[in-house]
Amino acid sequence: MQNESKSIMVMALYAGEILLKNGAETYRVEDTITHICQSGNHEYVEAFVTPTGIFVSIDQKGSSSGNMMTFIKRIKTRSINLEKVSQVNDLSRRFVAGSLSATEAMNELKVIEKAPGYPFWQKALVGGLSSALFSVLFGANVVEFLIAFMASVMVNNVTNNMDRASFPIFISHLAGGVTAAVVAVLASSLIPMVELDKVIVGGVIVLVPGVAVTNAIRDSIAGDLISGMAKGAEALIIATSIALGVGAVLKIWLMLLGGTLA
Amino acid sequence: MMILRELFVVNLIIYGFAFVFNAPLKTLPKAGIGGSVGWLVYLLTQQITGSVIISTFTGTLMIALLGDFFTTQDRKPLTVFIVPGIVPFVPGFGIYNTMLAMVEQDYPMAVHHGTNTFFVGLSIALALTIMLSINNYRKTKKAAKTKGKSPDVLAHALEGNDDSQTIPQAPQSHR
Repeated sequence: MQNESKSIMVMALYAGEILLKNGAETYRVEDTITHICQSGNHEYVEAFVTPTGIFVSIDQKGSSSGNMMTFIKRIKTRSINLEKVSQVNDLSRRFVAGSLSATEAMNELKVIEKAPGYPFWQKALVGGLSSALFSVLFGANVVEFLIAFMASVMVNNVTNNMDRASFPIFISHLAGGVTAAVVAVLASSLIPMVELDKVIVGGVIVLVPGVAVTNAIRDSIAGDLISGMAKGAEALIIATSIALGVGAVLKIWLMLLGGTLA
Repeated sequence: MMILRELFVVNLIIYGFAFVFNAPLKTLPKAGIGGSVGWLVYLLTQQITGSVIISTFTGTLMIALLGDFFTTQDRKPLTVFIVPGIVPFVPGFGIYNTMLAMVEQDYPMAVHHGTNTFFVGLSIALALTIMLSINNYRKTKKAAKTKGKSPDVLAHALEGNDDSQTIPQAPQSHR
């Protein structure tokens, strides 16, 4: 009995970890863990989820005090992968419906976590294209669009490589901002019809934490205050690092050439 | 004509970001449709009211509404449709502008961009929360009314869960 409880709980925690690491909302993670544990005959389940860690405690009705268990899982990296969220969501629903055992579910979760997703070069290209389209929405012309596309693909590459070499996000996003600004400065001084800020918009929009800001406010409204604050802090740090990178390059450019910002 | 072009661009942007966020391929077209209709509502509201914040609110409301419809069709979680859909509204560039103004020591501009970012973010979050809460309320009622379902569902529904976003494990629910 003890072993079965433990395997269900480990499975629930693992499902929660995958959800949280791939950008699911806080309430969804808490819900999934609670439902999985409850379906294993644990009447008392408390899940406390923050963006940096998961705390779960379970107990059975009428059991002796030895059966209460608490697990903590530390989460260090977060990104967005909706495919994994969708798959884990589906799996948890099947598990709750009773068509899976805990071990089978655990094996499926391992497969889900290992799934590579779309290849990076495709994501960089498509991401670059849609970021450049953003600058079109801000009124860019064709040349600006092409340069923004180039800048965005380069920013994507720089940030991704630095993230993979496990630099802190502040440093990798700082480098991303610097890259976008350098490309924009070079392009605008070489080609007269290119406006600086439109290229920068297109370049950094992939990094900019818009969804994070919205999720932070959403969590705060829903009462998950700690998640809200944590996500807000993360968004602020990312925005600051990008702005710092861009701002530094622009300052240096102004000092060297004595020009004005277009 | 301008509007059509803009809608097309927005559609492509959503496709692209949905791809970057690794959304399942089958859901891309629907996320694109939801986002474009949302953007249309945004443009129309802006014509009438002239306020970015109100238009963002109505646009997001539309996206959430359509997302909910697609969710019941496809049995995929709501996030898959909503996160790519709200990308054009989301104030990512606003928060970047705020910090850039601070770095350049232009504090009035920083306050301007900062408040704008906060309120746009608030209106998106509010629209999503309102939509999900109404939805949740509806499903809870339905689960409570339906007899003969598993007792677990009933218990959960009748418990009167005070977390407004928790959707009970009813057979029709799509968390």
